[in-house]
Amino acid sequence: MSPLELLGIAAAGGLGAVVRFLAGALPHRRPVRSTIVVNLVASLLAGALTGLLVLDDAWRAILVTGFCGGLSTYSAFALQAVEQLERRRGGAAAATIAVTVVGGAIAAGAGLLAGALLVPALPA
Amino acid sequence: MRLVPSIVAVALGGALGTGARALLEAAVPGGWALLLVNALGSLLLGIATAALADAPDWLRHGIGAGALGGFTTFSAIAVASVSATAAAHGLSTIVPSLPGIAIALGMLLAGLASAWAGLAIGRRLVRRRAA
Repeated sequence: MSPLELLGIAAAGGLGAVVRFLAGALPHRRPVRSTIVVNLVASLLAGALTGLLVLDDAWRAILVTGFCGGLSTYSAFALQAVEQLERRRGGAAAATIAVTVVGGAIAAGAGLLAGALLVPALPA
Repeated sequence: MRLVPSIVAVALGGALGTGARALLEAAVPGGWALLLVNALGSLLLGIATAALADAPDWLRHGIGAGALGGFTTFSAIAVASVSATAAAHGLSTIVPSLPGIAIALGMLLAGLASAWAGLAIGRRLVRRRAA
């Protein structure tokens, strides 16, 4: 990983974090739901970009490790689920966990498939 | 809420967190870097959430949503668990999704336990500071 690539990954991660923050931190939004949505969107996108074989390695790292990694978050998901459990909202916590984990796998799988199918359509 | 200082802090924190994750992923072999990063990030977010409850908005957002949100990642775990399932062999040819499920559940348990421990540590720090 070159210093320039690291800088690109960091910048893309900062951008992803701002998108995630704006999706969840605005006063009228529901933080748990927006965490779920950004995680699923990022998983779909990361799957598609990983499956897209024509992508150059440095750009893949910037987009997948940087942007998608910065857009998605594990810490907020884990903390929000624990907070739901602490408030004795076990059903809500179970739903948060199930939708995130199962939905994330489906989104990543759909993305990988879409990325792999897109390759023949693009000039190699 | 003043949004601009928070956005600047989240962008800077997110860039630092993401850069740190990229370096750790390059340094630690296999998929262990992600597990370590997410567990550590969840622990630190638990501590920060409890310990920084009275801190200014931009600082809480810069550390929480920015640095620790950018440090940890869900998408990489989702892609890794699906890819592990697609590349299944050996015992897992009988139940092909076994490796993927193991990654997803292992990460889930580590993340939840870390966030819970972090909150407990953070609250203890706050009580000690108040005493």
